[in-house]
Amino acid sequence: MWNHLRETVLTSYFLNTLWLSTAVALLSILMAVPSAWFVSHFDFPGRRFFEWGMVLPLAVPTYVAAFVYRQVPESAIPLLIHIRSTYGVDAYLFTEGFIRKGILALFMAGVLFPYLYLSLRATFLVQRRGLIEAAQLLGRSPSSVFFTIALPLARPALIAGISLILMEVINDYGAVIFMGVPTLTVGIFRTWTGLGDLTSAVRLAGLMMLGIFVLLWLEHHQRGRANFAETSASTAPHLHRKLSRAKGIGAFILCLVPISIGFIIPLVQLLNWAWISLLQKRIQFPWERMVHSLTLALGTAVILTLLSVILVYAERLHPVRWLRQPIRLASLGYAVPGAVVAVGVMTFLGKTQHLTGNVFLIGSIYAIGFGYIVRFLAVGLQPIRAGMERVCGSLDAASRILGHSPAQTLWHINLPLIRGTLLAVTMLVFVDILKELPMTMILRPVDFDTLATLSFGLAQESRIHECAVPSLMIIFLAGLGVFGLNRMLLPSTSHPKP
Amino acid sequence: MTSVLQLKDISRCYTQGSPPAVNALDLEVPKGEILALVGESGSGKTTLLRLICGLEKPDTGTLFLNGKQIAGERSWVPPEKRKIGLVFQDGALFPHLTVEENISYGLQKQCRKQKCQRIETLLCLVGMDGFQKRYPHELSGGERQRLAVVRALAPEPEVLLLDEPFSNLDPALRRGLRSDIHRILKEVRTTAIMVTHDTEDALHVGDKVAILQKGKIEQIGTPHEVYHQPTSGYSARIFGEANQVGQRWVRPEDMEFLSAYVPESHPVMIEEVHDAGRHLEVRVRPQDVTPSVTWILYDASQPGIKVGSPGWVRFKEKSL
Repeated sequence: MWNHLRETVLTSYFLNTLWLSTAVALLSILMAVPSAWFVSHFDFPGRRFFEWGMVLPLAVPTYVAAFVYRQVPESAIPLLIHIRSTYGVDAYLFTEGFIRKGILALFMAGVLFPYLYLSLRATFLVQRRGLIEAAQLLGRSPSSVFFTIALPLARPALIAGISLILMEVINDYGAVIFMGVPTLTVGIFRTWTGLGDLTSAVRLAGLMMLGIFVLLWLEHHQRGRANFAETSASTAPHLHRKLSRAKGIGAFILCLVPISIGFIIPLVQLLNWAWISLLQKRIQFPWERMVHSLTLALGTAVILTLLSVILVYAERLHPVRWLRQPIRLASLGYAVPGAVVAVGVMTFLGKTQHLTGNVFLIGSIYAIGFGYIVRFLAVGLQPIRAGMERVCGSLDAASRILGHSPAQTLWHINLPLIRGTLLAVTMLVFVDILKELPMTMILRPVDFDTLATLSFGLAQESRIHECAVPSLMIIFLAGLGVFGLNRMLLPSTSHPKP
Repeated sequence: MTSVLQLKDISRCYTQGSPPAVNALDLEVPKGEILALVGESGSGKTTLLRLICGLEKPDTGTLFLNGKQIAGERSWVPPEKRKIGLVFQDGALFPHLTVEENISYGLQKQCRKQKCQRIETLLCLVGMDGFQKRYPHELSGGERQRLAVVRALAPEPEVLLLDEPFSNLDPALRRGLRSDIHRILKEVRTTAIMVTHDTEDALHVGDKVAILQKGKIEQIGTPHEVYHQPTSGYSARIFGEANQVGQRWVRPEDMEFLSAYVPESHPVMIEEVHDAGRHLEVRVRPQDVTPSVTWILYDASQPGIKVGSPGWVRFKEKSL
């Protein structure tokens, strides 16, 4: 079977993944870098909205964006017919593939660029104002300051943001299926569920992990997600330079285009479909699925946050190798695509079933929760570790010396001080789980649907108008989370108050 | 005098192969004494404090507090049970607690009334009465450091440790706080160890001064002893200029320039004169010392001092 795979589809899986990763990364840079820079340093019409609005696309799952954008290539059909009759089948196939993949890369960048935007903005805001001012006083124009000072200094944030985006791209299942661009993740699914060959699926997963380790290595050396889950404590208030009218409009457009692709267009289209299904009287509100999604996402997010706190604090109390290494290993889960984690969880639960009895039964709600924790633990660990290091410094040592035990210290000192980070982490994980598709599809119990699996299922059956409502529900709930998260990430100049 | 704190053969090494931060160190601190620890950065000052309060475990050696072993082979008392206070370099005030709550944080076992009383007494001691409800960020730098000191004093520790308590303050504030803290420590009769890299702080605050080099104590004595009678080049140079005279080191201000011979003086030739404002800085070359060296001494400007002219140098009694 493996040989068969290798001879037939493996190359195309691989090339598709590579192509898509590169295209999404480049497009994300084009969308995130100018917007983050303008929002952080200049005043122009709509800046206050864009400051938090640029993050809204994070609420849109890639597969939902795919439902919306799937029809765009269809509008190119007249052009394609013309190409086919004039230049032949090969030219037609090439153009058709190019348009399809191009659209896919464009909207994926549209919904994923906020990862880069957030990490860049956090960096631009804490970059010392003195550096920028020094460069200006040395006679550099604002654009020159940007290219010679601000951007090179933001390189770690750039790499961290891009590697997060790439992990999302590699992990994606729904969008690539819809747009007919099978990547390695799709390959794993097809080999396992379609061909029933777990061994080849595991091999494919191994191949994929190899590529991801390269990314992970990059990210590890440039700091991770911690970048944007940090609330920066106190920085000098930033002065926003007022842009001239023409330049202001330019900046407005630079910000409006990405947020339109990633949020406004999908939202308007979905609302339109929901309206149509309302007119056709076929609208249904899947309340039960919403309860499923909310319970799973909130419950897991809270448990995961608590678990992260315990692990980070244990590591802080006893900075020893045998504790640090396993915790580092546990954070690898985020780099592993959901489909691969699902395979792992299935295998693990199968092997340990006799130990855990029926509690962690394969296909139970606990199994999904377990899978989510494996996959998203790093999302909790890294910011909480960074938060404790930054905020607590020698404070917990001070508390110990004043006669409080480690547990009392955690409760009275560490937890109140990193409250903001804890909330940010909970929301981040909440949003991630709400949108998660591949792992939920594999691990969910029979007849158990979440908003994500429901809307994906409906879209797959081409009941596109009906899938609008669950999709909108995801966007609305995730949007609430993203909004709250963003409020917490906005650096404040005030001091912490109880 | 009985010693409150006793360290025997204490060593601590952070990474294998590198030189130990604290190296087979012995130290005794008598009750009520303020010991100032000075040394260059990396000499092991902070590590020594962390070992004493239990934030670090020694690799070897034993630590006694009032005769009771608190660290050593097979014994370990965690920091919260040691009754040792620490004033952190940055104060380490809890930003989410008020002044009052910060102080009462270490007073777990007392009732409300006792706590209030103690807080008031302590705040009066540092001239901060009425600050109870403020938050640390509403205090000035000096107030914050005072609060850090009284917070550490509140549970009445057997020993108070201070880790560079003035290093984040500007010079004028620093001098004020220095004498304040000295007064407070004496008023409450605390045994204290203060780490500093500022030798002026050490000489002002310490009853005794210990000079640390490469994790070992190089010299320990009263401020007068360590300043005027350094036993090594390292201890001499740490407090400023010092001239080597045979096996001894003599401070420039302990030398006197004379234009005429007196008994026990050395003939010298003036090599360099520099006006340093409050005095002249004079470099001389003694004619009767081999191999040839230069000495530096201070002089209120007197007419005979010119480059190239001869003179005599005598040592004042302090240096003997």
